[in-house]
Amino acid sequence: MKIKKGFILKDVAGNTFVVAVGAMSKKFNGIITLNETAKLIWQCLVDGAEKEEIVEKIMDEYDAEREIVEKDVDSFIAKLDGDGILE
Amino acid sequence: MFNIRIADFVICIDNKYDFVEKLCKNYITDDENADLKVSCTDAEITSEKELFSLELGEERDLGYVESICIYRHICLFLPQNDAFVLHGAVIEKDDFAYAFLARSGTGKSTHIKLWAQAFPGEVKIVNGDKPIIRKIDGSYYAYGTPWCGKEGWNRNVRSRLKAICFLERGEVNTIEPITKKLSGQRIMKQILIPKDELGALRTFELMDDFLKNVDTWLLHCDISTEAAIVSHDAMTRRE
Repeated sequence: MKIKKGFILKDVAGNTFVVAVGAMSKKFNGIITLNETAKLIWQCLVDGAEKEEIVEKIMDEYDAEREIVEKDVDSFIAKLDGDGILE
Repeated sequence: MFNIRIADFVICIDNKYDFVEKLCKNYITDDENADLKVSCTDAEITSEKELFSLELGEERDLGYVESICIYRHICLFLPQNDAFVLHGAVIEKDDFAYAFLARSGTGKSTHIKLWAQAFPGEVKIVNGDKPIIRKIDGSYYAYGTPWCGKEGWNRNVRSRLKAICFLERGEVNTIEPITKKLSGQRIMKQILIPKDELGALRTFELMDDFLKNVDTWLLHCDISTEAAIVSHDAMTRRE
């Protein structure tokens, strides 16, 4: 799974924002705000990571139950997919 | 075609309609070394006019619409030059500038009028709606520009920006410092983010730096002079 080309991610004053640029900006208006976990997932997806890798990465980073992490990753990916952000 | 100096940039405007030249009359310069040349195509002006009509229900003449398109071009040029357009009302008192930010219709103009009433003769307008903010030698300055909202409040000046204040209506007048993080979320609604990658990245970098260099406040206020005194006393305090 991979984030489509045409999005940029940037930290501003402790926030993480994503906006669409170039041709993609004609489809996506507005700003996406990511929390810390969402940012991690997004960055993995920029590199085209699979769900399992992403879950592992979050487990490394945070002290959380696998089941909950999997659910969170699933729902975030579903959201991105639903919005047409994934390839 | 004419040149203006705004925010200490020289900008050449190649216009089709007279409106923008009249609008800019206090900013015209003889300086021929333009930092930027701006012109708008007929197609661009027509499509902007349609947007006004469809989205706002406002029928605007082409000259006015051209002036809006021109400012957008200027706005997109600024981030690569340590500057940006901020949607807000900026006033000056005792050599420092203060910016009030809110959605249109919340009461920015009303609040700065209240400052003028509370401190007669001491408060001067910089720009009532869309000042340019520019970083010079590590400090941020607010500039008057011809684009300044329906009241036409602007002076061709610059003033060191001490603080920004997000304004909301409230039953009682209270002001509190607001974190840089929350300010970052709110300020995104008050700026134009370029659609090109470099411009967007630069704008975000600039916002990060800007918020580190100004005080940030959240004001809840009504429309009494007490509201102006409350915001004034907090924002002008020297540490």
